[in-house]
Amino acid sequence: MEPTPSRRNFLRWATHGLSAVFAVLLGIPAGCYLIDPRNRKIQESGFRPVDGVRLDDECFARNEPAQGVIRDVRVDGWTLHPSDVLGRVWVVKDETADNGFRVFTTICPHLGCSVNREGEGFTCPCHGARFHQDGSLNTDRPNPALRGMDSLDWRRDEADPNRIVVHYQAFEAGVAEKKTVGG
Amino acid sequence: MRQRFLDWLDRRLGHRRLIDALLLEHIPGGAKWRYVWGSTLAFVFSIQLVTGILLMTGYSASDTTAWGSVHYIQYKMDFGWLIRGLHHFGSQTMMVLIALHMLQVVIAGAHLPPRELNWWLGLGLLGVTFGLGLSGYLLPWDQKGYWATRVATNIASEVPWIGPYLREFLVGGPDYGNHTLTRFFAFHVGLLPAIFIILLILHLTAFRRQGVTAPPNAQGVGIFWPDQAFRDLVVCLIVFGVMVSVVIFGGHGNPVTPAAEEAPQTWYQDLAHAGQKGWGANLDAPADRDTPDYPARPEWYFLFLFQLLKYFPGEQILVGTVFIPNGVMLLLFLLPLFGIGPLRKFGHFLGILVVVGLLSCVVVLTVLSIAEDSPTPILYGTVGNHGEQFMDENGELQKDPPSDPKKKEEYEKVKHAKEFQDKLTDAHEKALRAAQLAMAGVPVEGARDLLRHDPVTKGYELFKNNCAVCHNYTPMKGDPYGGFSGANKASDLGGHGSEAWIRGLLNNPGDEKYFGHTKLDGMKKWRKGIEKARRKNTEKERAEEDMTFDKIAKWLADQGHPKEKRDPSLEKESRSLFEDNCASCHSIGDVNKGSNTAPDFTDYGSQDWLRLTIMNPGHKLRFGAKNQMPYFRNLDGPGAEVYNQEFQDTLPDKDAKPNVMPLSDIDRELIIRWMTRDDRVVFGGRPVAGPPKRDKAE
Repeated sequence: MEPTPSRRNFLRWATHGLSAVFAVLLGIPAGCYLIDPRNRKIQESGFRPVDGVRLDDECFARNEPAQGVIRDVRVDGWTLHPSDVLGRVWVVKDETADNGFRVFTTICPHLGCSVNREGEGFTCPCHGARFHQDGSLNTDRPNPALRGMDSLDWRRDEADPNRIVVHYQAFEAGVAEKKTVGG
Repeated sequence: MRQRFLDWLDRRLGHRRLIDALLLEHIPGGAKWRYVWGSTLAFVFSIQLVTGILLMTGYSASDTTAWGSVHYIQYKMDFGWLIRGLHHFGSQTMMVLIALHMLQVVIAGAHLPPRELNWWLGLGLLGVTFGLGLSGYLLPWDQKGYWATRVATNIASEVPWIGPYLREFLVGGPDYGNHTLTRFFAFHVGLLPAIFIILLILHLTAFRRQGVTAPPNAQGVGIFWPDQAFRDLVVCLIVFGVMVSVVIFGGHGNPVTPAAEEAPQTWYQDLAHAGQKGWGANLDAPADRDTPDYPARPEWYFLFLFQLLKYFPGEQILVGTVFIPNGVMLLLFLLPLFGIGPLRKFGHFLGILVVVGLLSCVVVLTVLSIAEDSPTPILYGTVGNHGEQFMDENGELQKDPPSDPKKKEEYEKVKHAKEFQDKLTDAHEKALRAAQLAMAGVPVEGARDLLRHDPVTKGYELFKNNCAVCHNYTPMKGDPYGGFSGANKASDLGGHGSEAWIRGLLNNPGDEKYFGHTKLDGMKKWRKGIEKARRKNTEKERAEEDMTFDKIAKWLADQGHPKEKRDPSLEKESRSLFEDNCASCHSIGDVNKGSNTAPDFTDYGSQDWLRLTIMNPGHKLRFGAKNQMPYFRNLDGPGAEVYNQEFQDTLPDKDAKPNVMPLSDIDRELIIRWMTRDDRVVFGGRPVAGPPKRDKAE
């Protein structure tokens, strides 16, 4: 039996319609699956102890900064690291600061490399961003970074006042404003 | 505007001609529902491509990560359960559709010349589909896939001459591991789909060259678009509907309970994470080569081959693994050639006979395979073992086989099937447990450590092997496992450190549940003194004393909790009672009256307290000189000689052997977690940061 033109027309529309139904049924879950990373939130660790730094260390008397490590449980997709390094911090003695010290993340605010100690301040080995000892932007010469080193909230450990606990956070790189990643 | 754009595009691309060429196919005899099967296969294959690529965005092919990544897709990623479920059941759907397609082809006589080439291309596609099913089965790196693949590749190694090389080529070496996965992954997502697509294009080209095989009496002419396309799509959507239904209602997934902060809050999350409800495909426990009794079976569409092997024992195995399957493929290959020229009618008839015959064999073998694994008959009681006659009303098999030799043979078969089912149940429970444990994350060391380091299942075994030699363990309320009894050399550790346990000890330390079997006589002497004093006391004084002991027991039991979780009101009320009654012998925290003749109670019953007790029970903070318990230490690797020297120094003479027992750090933590009912997996022996969870026995 040969279908009539009007029947063919109906079949055309019906086929398009059914295709659209299928596209929606598979397409929506597929799309949601692909953008699943939006469900992953930045880890909020709160105040964590800093290993490797004591405030009575003599390096501070020499006005040198000290580097410490912050560890915590880290979840990476399905993998649980019971005690992974969240990040490192620079601790600098600074009489002008509230508690006599400043704590900076070692992550460069320019594009996220690790800031190293150099001379009287800090330098990033990747693109040469430079900072003073107090973390502020060094502007003697043009500087690729748009803001100073990112300070972190810290306080003295209640049990041992020469140890510190730090609220470790990651900040958006490459912008003048300091804002937390995902925040 | 749209028209102008399409015109512009067509002048450059020529897409209209292409589309016309593809869609305006003439169908002699008109469109028919029976022509849909090829299209449904192409449709399901395209679903496999889409879902497969989506799965690749979440999958990680390695021994340590594969299972974890699949678990993550299944339970944590939005609609991962659906994507994975469709892909999983898509392969099975293709097997069914291939059977229908082949059947339709031979019934129409479409395998006969001039379409024989296309029949061969189709056989190639069938082979590639089997290869895709086999390789994909391994990728989750779960027990099922692992053991099935071991069997499949060992079968490959039996092929004469090239077998061992073939196996090595597939497995990536002499043993199964990372390279087996990476190779199977590459075959599954790269090589085989590419071959499939090339064959499919050739298959369709040849099909278009020859057209459909219309029945001789068919009249009129149809056009593919829309006459046949509509029919194809309707059936495709029905197939898709069936697939989705199986994914949702098939009951193949393992339900898990998410942590409170991960539990679905909205209807969207409820649907997107429905894997947690048990929707989607099955994920067995992580592959573990150390599984002595895994009940391995292939995927159902390979069961007929599995069953076939049973009929060719020993030396004849090649018949079942190589000769018959390849003979069948050869027969199928030669099938069109039986219909050349005047033989066409015979060839047509033979084609139907062979395909229907083979499919019947496959069905029968599959049913027999399932029936032999079941102690009771399947298919409404028609096929299989009649195990009911050997069972009591609870379904328990009688212990002794019947004496009649025929009955005995039947009994053995039933017993075998029953054991298989029990192992299957056990494997299923392990799968559930692993899925649940992995909700908190998978160890860096790999997913198999989830069960190897699971306090609930492994801690129990370790306690049995290391502690139950001396200690009894009377299960507490809510313990899912049995206890241990009959050791009678030390205290009963069921509910150790709980209020009831401590209170019982205060009442009767000489009881065999407590220190009755030991040299620890301090408490016994103390109780004797109490008893003596009590005889002079009034009823009221005795009741008051009991109340004091109640309070001490409650407070002491609370010391097992992390500091910030302890009850401050208990602390206020009972600490002074402890100081008055117990502190002359026992120290706790900063309360230390200097005697120290009895164990220290700082964090009593906690994991830290138990750790010192296990590693150094003779320490002055534990049982000191009265200790009879061995020192359980990790004697593997560096440090063992230090321990031994340390113990040697404490011994009275040089020849005495220190009472040290080997116990690895991880095993010790597993025992501790099991005893304190902390069911978190031990990650590399290191404690997970944060306060320990603790639900103590009441």
